[in-house]
Amino acid sequence: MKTGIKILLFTAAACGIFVLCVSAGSVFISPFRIPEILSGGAGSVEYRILVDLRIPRILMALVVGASLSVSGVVFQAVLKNPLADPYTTGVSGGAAVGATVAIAFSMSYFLVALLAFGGSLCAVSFVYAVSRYRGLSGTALVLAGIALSVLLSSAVLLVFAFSRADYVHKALLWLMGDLSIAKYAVVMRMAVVSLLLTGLGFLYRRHLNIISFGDEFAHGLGVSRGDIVNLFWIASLLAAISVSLAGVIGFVGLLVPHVIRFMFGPDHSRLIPASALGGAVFLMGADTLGRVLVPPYDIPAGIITGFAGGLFFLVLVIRKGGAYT
Amino acid sequence: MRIQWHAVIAPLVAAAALIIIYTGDDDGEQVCVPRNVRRVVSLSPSVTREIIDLGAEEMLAGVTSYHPPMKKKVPVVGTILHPNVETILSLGPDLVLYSEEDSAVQHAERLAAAGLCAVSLGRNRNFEEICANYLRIAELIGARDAGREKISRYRALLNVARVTEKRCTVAVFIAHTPLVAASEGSFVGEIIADSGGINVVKDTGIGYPILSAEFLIAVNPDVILSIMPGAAEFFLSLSGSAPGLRATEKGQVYTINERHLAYYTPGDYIAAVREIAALLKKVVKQDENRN
Amino acid sequence: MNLFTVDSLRAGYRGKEVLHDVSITVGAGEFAAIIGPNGAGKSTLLRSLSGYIAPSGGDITFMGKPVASYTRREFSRELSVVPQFTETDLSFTVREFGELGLFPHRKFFDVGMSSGNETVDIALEAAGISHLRERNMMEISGGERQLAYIARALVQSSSVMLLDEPVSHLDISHAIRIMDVLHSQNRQGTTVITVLHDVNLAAEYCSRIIALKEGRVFADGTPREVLTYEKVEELFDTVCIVTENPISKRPLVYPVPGFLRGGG
Repeated sequence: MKTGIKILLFTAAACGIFVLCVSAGSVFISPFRIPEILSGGAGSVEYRILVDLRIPRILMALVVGASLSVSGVVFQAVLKNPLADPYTTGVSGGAAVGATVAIAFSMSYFLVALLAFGGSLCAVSFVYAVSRYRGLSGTALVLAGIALSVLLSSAVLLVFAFSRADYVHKALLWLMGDLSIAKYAVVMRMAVVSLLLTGLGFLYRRHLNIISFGDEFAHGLGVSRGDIVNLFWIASLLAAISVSLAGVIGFVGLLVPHVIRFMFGPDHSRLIPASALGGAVFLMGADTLGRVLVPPYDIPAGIITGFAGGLFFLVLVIRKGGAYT
Repeated sequence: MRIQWHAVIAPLVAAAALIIIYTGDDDGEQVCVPRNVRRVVSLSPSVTREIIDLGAEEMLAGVTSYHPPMKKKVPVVGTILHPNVETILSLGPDLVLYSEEDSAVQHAERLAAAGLCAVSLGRNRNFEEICANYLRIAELIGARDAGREKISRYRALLNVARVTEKRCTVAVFIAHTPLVAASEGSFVGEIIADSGGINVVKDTGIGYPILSAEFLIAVNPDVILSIMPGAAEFFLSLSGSAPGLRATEKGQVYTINERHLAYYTPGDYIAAVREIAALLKKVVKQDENRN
Repeated sequence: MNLFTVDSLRAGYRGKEVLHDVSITVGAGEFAAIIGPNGAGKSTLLRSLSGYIAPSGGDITFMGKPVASYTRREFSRELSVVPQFTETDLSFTVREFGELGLFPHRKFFDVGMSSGNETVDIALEAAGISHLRERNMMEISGGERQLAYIARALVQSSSVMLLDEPVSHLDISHAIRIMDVLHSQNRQGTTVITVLHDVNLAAEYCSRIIALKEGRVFADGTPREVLTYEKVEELFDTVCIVTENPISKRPLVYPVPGFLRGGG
C-alpha cells in the first residue's frame, strides 16, 4: 500500500475515533447533535458535560498520548533499543516519589504536578550523570535507569507506610494515570510546550536515523555527543511533563512507535509525526474505553493501556518469537 | 574552551516548561449559596447517613458506591475515591455535598468547574466537629430547626453515655498485618477516651501508626480491641510462648463491630461509645471479681 | 602534503592506556593498512585518528589543525569512518542508507532531500551494488551489507576513508570485492586507512603498512619492508614463511602450523 494512501486512511480513522470519543461517556451524546449543543449556549447539561468535562479530557489525552509516543520514539533511537520506553530513565520513578510525597502532605493538584515534575527531573539528571561518567552508552543509561527505578519504588512504598490510608489510595490512583482532572489552561500550555519539544525532535530527525546505527557510526557522520544529550533531554522532558500532569500511563511510548514503525518504516521524518498522531489517538481511545466500560465507574486510562500493551506484546511474542522488528 | 551548549540549554528549557505550565493557577474558591435545595448528591457515606437521619432521604439524587442502607434505590455516581462528574451533572442536583477528608481524592474543584454548586464539609476529628458538620448540612438543605433539635438531643445522649473516670488501658487496632493502631489523637481514639479507656498509643502526629509487636508487649494494655475478626486468636499467637500480653492472658481481647466506626455521624459516635464503654465496664468488673 | 600527523600519541579508554607512544604520518593518496596482533591498539589508533577517542597525551593533527579543534560536522565532511560494528540494522533501503552519508553536508534546517542524488548513485555504482538500491538492508547478505556501508562512506566523503576491519567476517569473494572497491577509489585519489587482520590482503592492496605491537609502532613502511619473516614472526609471536606472490610480486605470508614445526 502506498504511503500516501496509508497516511490518508490513518488520518481518516483518527478523525472518526475522535468523533466517537467525544460522543461517548456516561451519557451518550449523538455526534449529529453536537454542533447544535455547542451553539446552544452554556445552559444545558449536555453543553457543560461536553465543554467542561469531556473535551478538555480528550484534549489532554491527545497531548499526553502524543508526547509519550514521541518521547518513546526518541528514546528508542538514543538507547538503540526498540523496546525502550520513556520511563526507562527514571522519569516515572522520580515522578512517583514526588507525587506521593506531595499527596501525603495533601498538597493541591498543581503542587502535586510540580513535585512530580521536579522528581522526574532529579531522577533523570541522576541517571544522566551516572551514565555520562561511564560514557553515555545506551546500556549504561538503561542500567542506571532500572537501578534507580527499583530504589524509587521502594521510596514510594516507604512513604505509603507512613501515610493515611486515603492518601495511599489517592497516590495509587495517581500512579494509575488519571486524565479526569484536565483543565483547558493546563492542557493548552502543555500542548504548546509539547509541540515545541516535538518540533525540536523533528528537526533532529536525520540525527535520529543515524544514531540508531551506533555511537561510533553516528560520531563518524558528525553527530556530536551534544546532539545526543539534547535528544535525551527532549525525550525526558516530554515524558516528565506527561507523567506529572497525567500520572504514569504505560505502554503508549512503547506500543505506538512499534506499530507505527511497522506501518510507516523506520525513517524518523515519518516516524515522529505519525507516532504523535498515533499516540494521541491511542490514549484518547483508551481513556474513552475506561469511561464507557462500567459506568458510572471510571477505569483509569493507565490500566487500559497496561492491559492493551501487555496483550499486544504477548501476541507479538507468540507469533514472532524473538524477531520483533 | 567551547561552551557546552547542551549543559546550559536543557535546564533552561526545563525551567521554561515549568514556568509555562505550572504557574497561573486559576480560579480560587467560589462559594455558592444554594437556594431551594431539592436534589442533593452526596459524595460521602457519612453525609448520606446524616441526610437520612434528618428525614430528608427523598432529597438524595445520587450517592457513592459505599452507602448506608436506604429505602429506595438511588443512582450511584461512582466511588468515594473517584466520583464521575458527568453522571453527577446529568442528575441535575441543586447541591453536591462532600467531605474535606475526601475532597483531595475526589478533586472537588472539578465539580465547581463544571458549574455545580458543591459545598465541602469540614473534617470530622471529634464529636464537636461532627455536630458542627451535621448542623451545616441541616442548614444547607433547609432543615435547620430539625437539625438543631436533633443535635441538642444527641449531646444529651452523649453526656449520659460518656464515661469520665478512666477505667483501664486500651489498645485499638484497625489492622493486624501490619499492626495498625488508633492513636490518642485519632477519631477512634476520641471514642476510646469518651468510653473511659486510656489509650496506650499516644498521639505522635500520625493518627493511625504502624506498631511493632514488641511495642505492644512493652506497653501491655489491659484490653485489646480490634475491628478485624478473629482478634483473640491473632493476639494469642502474637504473644507466643514468651511472657506476653496481659490482655491475652486474661482473655480481654475483643473484636468490635465497625458498623458504627465507619460513619462520622453523631448517632454512630454515641452508639460506638456506648458499645465500647459497656465492654470496658465488663472488663473492669471481671478484673475486680478475679482479685 | 601530510594528511595526518601523529606525534607521541598516548590514548586509551577509561582506566587503561592502550597506545603508549605512537608517531606516524599519513600522506594524501596513500592506501595504508594498520596491522598487528589482537590488543595491539589498532582500533584505538583508528579511533584516535577519527576523533572518537581523545588523546591522553601527544598530538594528532589533520591537515595541519589538531583533530580536536574541528567541529564534528566540519570534520565529518572531510573524512568518513566505517566502524567495525554497526548496531541495529533498521529496515532502510540500501539507497536510504546511502543517503545518510549526505548528513554532514546538509544544513541543519535543510528540508530538501533531493540534492545529492547523483552522489548516492555514483557511490552505489562504485561499490557495485546499484542493482540493490531498493532492497531492504536487512534482507541482503552480510557481504552486500558491508558494501552498502562502504557506499555510504563514499557518499559522505570520497577524499579520506577510515575503516576498522571491513572484511574480517566475510568470505574470500566478498573480501576481495571490497578491497577492490577501496583500491579503485584509492586510484582515483581517495586516501584509505584501514585496520586489517589479514596481512596478505594488506600486502596485496596497500602501499603502506603500519604494524603495531603492544601500543607502539613496531614497523612502518612498504609491504616489502615490513613483511619479512623475522618481523612477522616477532610481531605475531609465531612461526611463518614469507615468499612472494608470483603475479603481483608482493610478499605472501604462510603461517606454519604447530605440528609441522618439529626441530626448528
